[in-house]
Amino acid sequence: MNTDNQKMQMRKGMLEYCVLLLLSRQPYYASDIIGELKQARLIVVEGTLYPLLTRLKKDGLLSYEWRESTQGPPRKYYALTDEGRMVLTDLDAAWNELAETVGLLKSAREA
Amino acid sequence: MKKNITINLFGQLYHIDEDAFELLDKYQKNMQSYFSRQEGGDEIADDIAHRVAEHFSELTQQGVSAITIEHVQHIIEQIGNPEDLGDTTDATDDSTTPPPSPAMGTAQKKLYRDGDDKMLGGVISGLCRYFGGNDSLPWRVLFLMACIFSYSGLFWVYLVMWALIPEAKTAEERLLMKGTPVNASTLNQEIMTGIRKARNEIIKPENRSAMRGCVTGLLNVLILLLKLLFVLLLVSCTVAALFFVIASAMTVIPSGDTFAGGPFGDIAEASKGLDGVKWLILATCICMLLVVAIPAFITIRGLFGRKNPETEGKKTSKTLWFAWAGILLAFFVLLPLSIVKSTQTLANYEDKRNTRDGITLYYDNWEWLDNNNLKLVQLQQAENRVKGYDDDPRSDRNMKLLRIKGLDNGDLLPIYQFDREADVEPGLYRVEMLYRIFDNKSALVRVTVPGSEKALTDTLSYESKRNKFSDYSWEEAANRPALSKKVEKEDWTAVQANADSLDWHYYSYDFAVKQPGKAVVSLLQDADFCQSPKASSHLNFANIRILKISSDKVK
Repeated sequence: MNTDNQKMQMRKGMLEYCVLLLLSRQPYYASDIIGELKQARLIVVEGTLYPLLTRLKKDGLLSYEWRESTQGPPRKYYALTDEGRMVLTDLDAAWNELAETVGLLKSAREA
Repeated sequence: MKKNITINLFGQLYHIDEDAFELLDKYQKNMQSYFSRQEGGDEIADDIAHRVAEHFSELTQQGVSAITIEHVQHIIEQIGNPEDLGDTTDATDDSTTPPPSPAMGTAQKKLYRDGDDKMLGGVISGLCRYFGGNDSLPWRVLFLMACIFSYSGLFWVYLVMWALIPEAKTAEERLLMKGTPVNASTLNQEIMTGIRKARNEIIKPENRSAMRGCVTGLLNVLILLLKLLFVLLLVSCTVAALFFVIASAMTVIPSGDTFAGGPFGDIAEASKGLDGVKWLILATCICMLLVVAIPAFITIRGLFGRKNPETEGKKTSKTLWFAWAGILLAFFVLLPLSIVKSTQTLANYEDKRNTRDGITLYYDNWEWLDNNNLKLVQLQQAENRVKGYDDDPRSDRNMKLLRIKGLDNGDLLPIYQFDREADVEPGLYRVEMLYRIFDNKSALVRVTVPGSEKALTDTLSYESKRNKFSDYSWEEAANRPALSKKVEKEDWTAVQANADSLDWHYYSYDFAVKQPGKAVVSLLQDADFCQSPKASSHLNFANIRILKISSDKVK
């Protein structure tokens, strides 16, 4: 049975967390983020990112600034705000909990 | 070879094929329209535009000098179509209206005006699409008829709909209008179709003019009304022609008496004289129908049919026009032919109907003679009209009478014999009549009585004894119907005077019958009599009667 749908659902759920994780390292611009997320197969269609970024910015978790570029059009670089960092810490805790639970369930199965 | 244009994307110049540009343009507009419902939607659309520019840069860096439509399609696939996006985690954003069902297979339908298939505003075609139809022509015809019958009330409804129903502009809206499920592949298709149409629109010369808007709109309405009037004219002609065809077809079909009595019965009756010409008439009528119907059909199809960009170049097939010209020619040949033949045949038929034993009388004269118990034995050198009219001296009315006049307006003397028969018993009989002899001459009366070999002959003239109304008192006249039928006693004097002024005379001849049998009273002028100067050329006889006076045995 094809599990693509379930996998996609799982990845969709992680999307926001992963974006915040990415941006916690350093500011990135959209294409970079897309590149990383595509590698992890977290997004299928690039356009999915933009509404997400806009919403995060509207909610105050992200900020951006325009930078000129040597090759091509100017770019919007996104960065985490303080509030964004707080949310990220929250999500880290949530992720750890999840990972623990899932780990337990998995080991129970293997046993 | 494709046309290539240069575009400026955020300060960078790119060379892009024209069709690729149009696809991109439509895509961006779709994005804008889709996200405009969301908060911050403008920004998202802008971000996507930037993303596109990024793709372009990458391509240029890879050495691509001209961006083709395949590149753009690939980019669109990657970035995704509007409904592929949308916030997956957000449930509280209530400024976003729910996107149309993203899953494959569900088809929503919304009412839009169809901008590609519009005569005025695309209202009817939009409605047609909403109800699942494909061809807006029958809808338009029905709507127009309903408009006419509703005395313009429906027209205001149309205007309201034109104002209220939005036009389907974006690819997504067009899909919704038709009820096709909205997903990546259908959207892509729709965008491509839209570009093709847009390209054709640009090429059409009438769209190049800058003067669009209200004035051209009004002008279009006026032209449309004129076209409609013309169509109405053609259609009514077609309907009329159709009736002709049906009528003539009915005469051709051997139906016997099935239709007698109804309106078709009259047609069938009247057409009895047209045997042999009926097929000709039918052919003429069919030609007439086609001559009117074909242009009507073409005009209607040209007016109301959907403007399909693929077939618009093809004009109505030449063969159809040639065929029509041929039919028109045939019609112009058949029409005079059938007219001539019909009149001929009718004349012949009439002659046949009115000829007995070689004598042809006018129109219904034979019928009249039959109804009046008059047998025509001979008629020569006389006009064939023997049924006449004159004033009835006994009343204010007209009466029908037997009229005899020689040919050449009376120059020739008529040779005639009219017989009235009666069954008689022994007794005394009288023959009486009213008469006028216009040239004051005379005529012969012969009475043949059963049992006697020799007939009784009498002369009828203005010298006959007691031949005027005023020669008879009321008591005498009372027994003589020719004089006094339906006359009151007190009017007798007036009747007498009237008869005298009208020159009516009274003839009566009594004869005895000894044996039962048939008696014959003849009004005649034979050839011998016509040699004499006494023969008349113009006479009227009315109220001819044979009466029984008494049953007493006569010696």
